[in-house]
Amino acid sequence: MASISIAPAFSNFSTNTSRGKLEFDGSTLGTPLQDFLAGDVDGGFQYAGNTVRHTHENSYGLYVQDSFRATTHLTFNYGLRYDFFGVIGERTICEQHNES
Amino acid sequence: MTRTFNPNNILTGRYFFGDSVQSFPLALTASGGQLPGFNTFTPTRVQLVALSYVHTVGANKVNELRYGWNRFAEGFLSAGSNFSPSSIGLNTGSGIVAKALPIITLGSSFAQLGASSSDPRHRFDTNNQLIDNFFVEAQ
Repeated sequence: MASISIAPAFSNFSTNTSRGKLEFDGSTLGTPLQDFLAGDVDGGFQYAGNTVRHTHENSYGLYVQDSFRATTHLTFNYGLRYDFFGVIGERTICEQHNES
Repeated sequence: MTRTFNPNNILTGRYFFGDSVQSFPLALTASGGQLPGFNTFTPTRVQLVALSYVHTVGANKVNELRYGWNRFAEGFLSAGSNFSPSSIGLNTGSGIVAKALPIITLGSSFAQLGASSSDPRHRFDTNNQLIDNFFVEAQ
């Protein structure tokens, strides 16, 4: 028996903290609640940018197996496998080149 | 699904999908609001395709070609993603980031408003697999 497998795996995901954050710490009117009710924002931030990533990896395997029945009471089973795991790549941003 | 072209050529296939939605309260990743209404919910869909083509080459030889595909898609979205911050005067941008309340903190004595800072995010994981098995029986 011989087996060849090709298993490319693609995954893409996005993650960000881009909704932003507003902080009311009371530094304007004295208490956080007073600042909040008055609409006096004391600090904040918002992350921006494209965080989408498209990563992929191709892997290959080859397996050969044989069985030899020497006698009615003795059977040899043996095989050999070779696997190649590719380098993870990125399609759009932060392109990664194969250097292995 | 099974299609028998003739006794020496048989094609078998199947497709499966499943959906789920989970809702995480109480500040997923400890960075979101602990008040009701600021959960993180995770719509999820998994899909699977499996194909098998068996070809009998001869009296002692059989070849089987298999193909598999699966996909896992999952989003982490703020509860109340239809809320527009601009409706209360907050311009937080456009797109999906502008469909939920930003995080609002009032010092350390009040529970914060808004879901986890890691929302929204989404991921798609796809795997393709091609396998060929060739059997030979010694005569």
